Amino acid sequence: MKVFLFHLTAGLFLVVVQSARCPLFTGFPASYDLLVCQVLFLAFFRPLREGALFCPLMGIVMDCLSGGPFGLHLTAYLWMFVAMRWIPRYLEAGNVFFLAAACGACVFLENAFFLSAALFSGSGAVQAMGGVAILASATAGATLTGWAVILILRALERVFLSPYDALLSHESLPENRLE
Amino acid sequence: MFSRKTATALLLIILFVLFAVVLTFFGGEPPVSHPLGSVVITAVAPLIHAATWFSSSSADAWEHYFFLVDASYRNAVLEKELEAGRQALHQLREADLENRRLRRLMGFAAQTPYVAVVAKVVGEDPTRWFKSIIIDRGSADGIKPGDPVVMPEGIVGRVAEVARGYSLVLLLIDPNHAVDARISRTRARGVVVGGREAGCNMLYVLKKEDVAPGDTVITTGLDNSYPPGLVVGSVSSLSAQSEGMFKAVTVLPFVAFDKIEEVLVLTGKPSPSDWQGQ
Repeated sequence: MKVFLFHLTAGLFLVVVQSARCPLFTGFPASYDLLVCQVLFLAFFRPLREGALFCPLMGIVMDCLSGGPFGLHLTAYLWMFVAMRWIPRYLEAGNVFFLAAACGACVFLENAFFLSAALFSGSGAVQAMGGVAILASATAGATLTGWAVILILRALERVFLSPYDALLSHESLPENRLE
Repeated sequence: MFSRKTATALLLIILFVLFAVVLTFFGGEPPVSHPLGSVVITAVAPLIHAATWFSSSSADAWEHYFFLVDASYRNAVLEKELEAGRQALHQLREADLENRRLRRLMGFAAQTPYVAVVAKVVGEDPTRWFKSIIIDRGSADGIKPGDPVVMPEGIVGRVAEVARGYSLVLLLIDPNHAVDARISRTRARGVVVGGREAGCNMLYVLKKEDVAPGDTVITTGLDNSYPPGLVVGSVSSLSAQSEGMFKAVTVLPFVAFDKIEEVLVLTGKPSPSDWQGQ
């Protein structure tokens, strides 16, 4: 129950931050999907069952709140989660630079996915030009700041969930756990 | 027959292809209303509303109590603008009176009455790819999916998803939004499609049509989504494409979408026969 509330609260907080109208931050040019950071946090630091539950759940929430076709965020988060569970088996994943690169890569892939969906809808070259600008700025923003969001989630995890994790010391926390 | 790793890899490949095929067919479709959407909006929109209220209040406190450095200079500038506005208002009042007289003379039918619901904008689309807003009115106020949303400056968008107390509005500038429109001066027809921050594009305007920068674009009402005669924007640029039958027309909406705070939702849409004579 505590784990469920922690992830749900973190996810809803990130959604509300992106959706609320803040006079200071509305239209910030390098803004990106903050929930990608939660997906990466679940992939790197939490057991498989938690990510398998919350990634689709937050994808559905984003699809329902966004004006885009249903299923885009759900698909993007699921594949991001699968890829990020698999990649650390083959790459050295031990520092902040890996987190920054992973965040930038995932945001790039997510936005490239949305750009291709826009092109499939027949919007054409005019839409693609604006889309490339969004893709570039979001990737830059995620690379520069995404690792900080993941580390904040990590710190909150240690505060709220460490007693729970101590009880599950035999569970399959990812073998690529970043220390 | 297959090892566990091979079976897992095959399953993932099949799932990926399935997702790609499904999204290819459905990814370009505009959002449709579904029960799950109204449940999620009901659950999350109050949090977004509260966060918006908190950030607006903080910004107001900053501007009205702490950030008064250039208030005197801004006051002088605003007084000049107010005087210019008063003069323009006087001229517009005269034009309005003349318009009323001419309409009585020509026997125009009375405007079809809509039930207009005022709604406040409490949230916006969490992504930069799509343009939508969340308003604080829903099915409890008589709003239905498809209801037009307007402002005095022009059209804002259409209601895409409705919950009990909140609604999701797809904006005019969203790439999935389209409205049948015409040039007010020459009656040339086209379809205005959203283009995000770049404004809108008016498609299917024939090359032979007379269109000039500055022309006002209005709705036709023929697509049964907006009342006829509502202002969309003005033509900002155009070029005749070397191939094909159509011009490339860019339309700048009159509504400032990054600044809207209240909107009108037109509920109780009349039948198209009620629009005759307009």
